[in-house]
Amino acid sequence: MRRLRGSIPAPLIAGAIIVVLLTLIATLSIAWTPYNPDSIDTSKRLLAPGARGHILGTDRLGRDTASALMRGAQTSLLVSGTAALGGMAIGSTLGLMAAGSRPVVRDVISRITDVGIALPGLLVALILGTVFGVGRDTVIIALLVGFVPWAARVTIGPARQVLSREYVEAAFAYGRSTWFVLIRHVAPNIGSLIIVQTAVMFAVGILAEAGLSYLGLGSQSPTGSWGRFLNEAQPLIDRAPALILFPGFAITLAVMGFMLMGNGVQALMDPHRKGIELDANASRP
Amino acid sequence: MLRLTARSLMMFIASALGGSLLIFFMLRMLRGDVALVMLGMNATPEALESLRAELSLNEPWYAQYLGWINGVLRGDLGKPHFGVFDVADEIGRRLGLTVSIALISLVVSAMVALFAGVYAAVYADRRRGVIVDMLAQVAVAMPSFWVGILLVGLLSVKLGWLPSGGYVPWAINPWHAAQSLVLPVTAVSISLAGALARYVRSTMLEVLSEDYLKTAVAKGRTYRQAIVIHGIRNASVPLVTVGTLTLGGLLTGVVVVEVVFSLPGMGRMLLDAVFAREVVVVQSVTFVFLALILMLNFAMDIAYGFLDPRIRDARKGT
Repeated sequence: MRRLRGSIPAPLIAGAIIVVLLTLIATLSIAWTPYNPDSIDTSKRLLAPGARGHILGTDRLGRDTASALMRGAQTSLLVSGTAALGGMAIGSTLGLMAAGSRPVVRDVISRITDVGIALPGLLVALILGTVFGVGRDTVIIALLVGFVPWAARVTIGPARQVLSREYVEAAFAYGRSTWFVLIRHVAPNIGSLIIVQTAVMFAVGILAEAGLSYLGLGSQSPTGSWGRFLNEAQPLIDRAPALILFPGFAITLAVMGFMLMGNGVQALMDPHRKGIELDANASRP
Repeated sequence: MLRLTARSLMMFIASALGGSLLIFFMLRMLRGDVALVMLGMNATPEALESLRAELSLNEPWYAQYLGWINGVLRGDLGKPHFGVFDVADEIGRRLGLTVSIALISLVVSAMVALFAGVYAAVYADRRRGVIVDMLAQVAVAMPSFWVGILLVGLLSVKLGWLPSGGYVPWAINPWHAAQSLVLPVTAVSISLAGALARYVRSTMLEVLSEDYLKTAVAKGRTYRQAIVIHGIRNASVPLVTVGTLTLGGLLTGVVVVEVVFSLPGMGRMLLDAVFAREVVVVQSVTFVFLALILMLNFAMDIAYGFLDPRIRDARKGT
């Protein structure tokens, strides 16, 4: 899409609005939801959206849908955020270390990341689910296992490019240590790349959390999750289609928000160079 | 070409070995005693001891690993502790369904992605091109299980056109088999096609600025002919290069739709094994899934060689 030089790219604005709203809703849900998402009221089962007091209706046990979705946002962001931020922090540190170290060490780290990337995330999640039992924490660990090598891999190449620049050589000649150069010169230069990849990880994490919860591998009751909500609502599709539509919209919108933000940051940082394609599906576990 | 095939084959074997080791270690070593994992804290010492004997847990790890691999190579994938079926036989019964969904979805989404991606690139600065690209992005963002549920709601429950779930094997009634696969394949293909279309689009955008396209037009081809003859072949390269990544997404899609449409495939089998903590079944089925992915990857490597002569003839590639 075209944009005027110097202005903020449209995807960034759209993405940022969605992400900020999502974060606000999730934060609010810690302190307040319209109803207790777990309070059962069988006299108000399967109310249609727009019913008095229940703006998005109720589910088969009379629980308020809006409240459940708000808490779902909290779970979704908590899981994807922990995994994305944690995975990027650990992975990019590993990547920087690899870029700054001797070829032997670099090769070892690269090979390990290759193996980590080759094993599909879903299989990792299922194996960890077998060993540790299913639940929210297992999903986070499985995502971390996928994100750390991914982050390391996307950092190594660009970091090495920066390391081969003249001003970096100058810094070495001046007597700076490897660590100083990595933190002072390399990290700021690959900052935009790290932000973009973190946004993609958020998107992947949200999709993965929803999918695994739908399969019954994610957060267990009473922790709310969009994926589990959909699982519970599926048999009611002919009687209460709204219960299917709302959580699905929520997931799609949240994922879109982070993807757009990633695209936007990329367009903002290097408007001319063609960068890495953003793709949430590629690394879905 | 021979060199490429040999190299890909080596990669296949190395990855299968590495993957099997990784699966083995994650399942057996991450949490100490496998017998405790399977039976829980309240198991009697006798039950634990007999399970340890059954799984040869008292032997050193390499003996356990080699025993497993030896079995796999002879077609013996073990038995569940609490079940009566043989894992290899059970996979044999379910493999056809899972592979059908995967392969058909892969072909369908590659074709849709090629068309949509090229279209979005050719009309990149027109509204219709932008809309196609936006649709691709939305398709990526939609979870495939949600798409599946929506398809069931609309096409089976509301309109009654297609079955909402279940599966008739190809051998019994090909027509019913095909019918029961339409919705699952659509659900998997939508997000996969969206992701692939975005790759195709960005490759095609590069292709459109290449000199050979201008040469073709200068030599008398119409723009459309030039795109169809020279562009499409180049634009299809990312369809095979993003292989491993795509195949991970494909795997997820297949497992998820098996649950959405209650299809008796390998994904369902694996999930049930995870909930029952059947370590042996999880180990073998995960490995079969990985082997299938690696085989597809191998096929894609070869296809890549056909599409791109530079790769075919290169002494040393990536």
